[in-house]
Amino acid sequence: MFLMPMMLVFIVTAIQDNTFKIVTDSKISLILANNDQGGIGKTIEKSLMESKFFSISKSIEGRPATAELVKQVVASGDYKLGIVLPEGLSAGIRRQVSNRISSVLADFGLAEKASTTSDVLEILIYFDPVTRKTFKNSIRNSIEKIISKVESRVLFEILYTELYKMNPEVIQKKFEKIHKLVIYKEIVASHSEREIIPNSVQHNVPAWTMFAMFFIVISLAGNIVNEKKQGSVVRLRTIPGASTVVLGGKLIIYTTVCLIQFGLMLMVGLLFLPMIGLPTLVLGNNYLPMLTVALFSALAATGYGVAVGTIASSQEQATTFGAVSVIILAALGGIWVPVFAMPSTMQFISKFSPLNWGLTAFYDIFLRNSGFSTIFPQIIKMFLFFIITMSVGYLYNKHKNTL
Amino acid sequence: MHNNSIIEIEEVSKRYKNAETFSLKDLTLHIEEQEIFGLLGPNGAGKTTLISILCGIIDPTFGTVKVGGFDIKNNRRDIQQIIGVVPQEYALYPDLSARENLNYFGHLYGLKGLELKERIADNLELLGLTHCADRRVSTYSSGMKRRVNLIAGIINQPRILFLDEPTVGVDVQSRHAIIELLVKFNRQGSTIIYTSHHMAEAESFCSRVAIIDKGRLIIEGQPQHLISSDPSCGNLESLFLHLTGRSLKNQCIS
Repeated sequence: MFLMPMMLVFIVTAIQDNTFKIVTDSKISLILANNDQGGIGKTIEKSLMESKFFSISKSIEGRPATAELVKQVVASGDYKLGIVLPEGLSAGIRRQVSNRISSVLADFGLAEKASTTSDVLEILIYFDPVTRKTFKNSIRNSIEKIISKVESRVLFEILYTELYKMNPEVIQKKFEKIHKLVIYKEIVASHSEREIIPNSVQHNVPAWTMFAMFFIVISLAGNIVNEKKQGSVVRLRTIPGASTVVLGGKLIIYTTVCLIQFGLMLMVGLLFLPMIGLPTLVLGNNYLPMLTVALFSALAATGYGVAVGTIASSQEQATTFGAVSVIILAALGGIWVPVFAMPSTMQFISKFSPLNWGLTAFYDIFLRNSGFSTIFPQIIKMFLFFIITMSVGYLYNKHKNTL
Repeated sequence: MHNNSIIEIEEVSKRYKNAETFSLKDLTLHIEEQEIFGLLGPNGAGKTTLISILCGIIDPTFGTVKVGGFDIKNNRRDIQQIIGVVPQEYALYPDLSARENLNYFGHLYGLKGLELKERIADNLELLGLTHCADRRVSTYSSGMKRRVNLIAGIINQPRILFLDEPTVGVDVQSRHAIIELLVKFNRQGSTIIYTSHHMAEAESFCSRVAIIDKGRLIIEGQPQHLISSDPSCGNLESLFLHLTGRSLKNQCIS
């Protein structure tokens, strides 16, 4: 009840860490063959190196990267991406830009007409065949962004040079105060000052805590079925008020067990996972809402256990149904695969899993640093689930009297 | 209404959901205060169903039942205050000791402190369980479990005690100990209603018996009167076989 969930969160978090890194912050292995001898090739290379997306190699085992080698290592899956910059790229771009500017200026009578040859320059980009289309598109966009930045700079430099030749004073004055028109600042939308990045720890600790809490259904339902089987329930039903006292006792005990599980799982996230090089769990600043979510999740799990135990007629039935139903609710609730990674239909269905309600509330607190107002709907849903499951148990018991 | 009737059963019928036949049919019976009343009948006769109705565990389909003057449908809680039940199963927690089980059930009856402690100790002593009172019940023999089961049923000193085959599967010594305790309990003023397959036991122990079969009351009265009413029967067992037949019970219903 305590050790198994702790082991589970430990193992699953370690396994999923790399997957989360791919989605969030891992770099893509890139092999670059820079055959250009000019400045543009060097600028592209520098931009790629400065980019947070790529981990760049220019040679393999001492051999410099060539177009053939790039194709070969990407095809074999050793690299996700390969780029080949052609020979004479800088000279070609400069020549073409210069020709076009001269042509435009000539149209305004400001320069002599130049020759307008337009050789298309080809930069080769090789992708690993197993790369997903969306991923491929985003990488291509990143590379295009770098190259168009280089193109713009060349265009600007040449235009500036040509115009400077005509009127140095005016051009220097006009261009010296040009800055970027738009800048981009990336900020994680959160109610906190801190930037908390979703990673395998931030997902798995609350996710498996919810799973562990609901897995007590097996123990609780089994306990209720045992009482029926051993006959003690018959005695309890003949003692005034005993059923209520016993049920209340079960609620207190199992809710406490769930809260202890919660505490232990947090301890794994805060203390043990960092020991094996995984990120430390970030709890956010709202401890009271966090405890409230834990309490209502525990009540929802306990209520479900009472309902299953009351309806089940044998230990096997309680165990099998309890385990399978919790696994289904966990799968739907985004315990294994986060809801945002599910297809839209499944995302809709996930809204009906009580495990999802708890997990969403924990996400809100841990990642968005939300307070009571945000998690209130999830708490209400879990409380209603608790009331409904307890009522099912009560009404079923009452119905048994009239059979 | 009979004078001194502590239990009044009027034309009670019980048909379980989806059952083809009635488990009890038009049963009328009155049990006097401080009687030891035996409910006798073959397997499937309806004894446990009747006990379950009297304890308020299940509702009758038809008819009225009053226990201690309270209607079973409307005053279930009042009835629970004055009854004790010893079910056929060992209604105990096997992972707890006898003392822990008795403490638990005693607390549920609202007993506590020295009073509860003394009651538990006295009854354990009477039934010869003091030496193993702190051992897990799961390690007990059938006879020992039956004895603890009995103490759990009388821990609240009920006015009316229901026992469903309290001596089944126990050795002679345990049976004697159980019967002796019940006789003592009855002398203190309690009414005892019990079911049994042991005709000799019922003959000597009960002040009055009723034989039921297929949910119907066949005969009722004092054991000796019933035996003497049929010269061909020398004891209660002969009478029982004469009335309920010698064919084996519990055969599969086609």
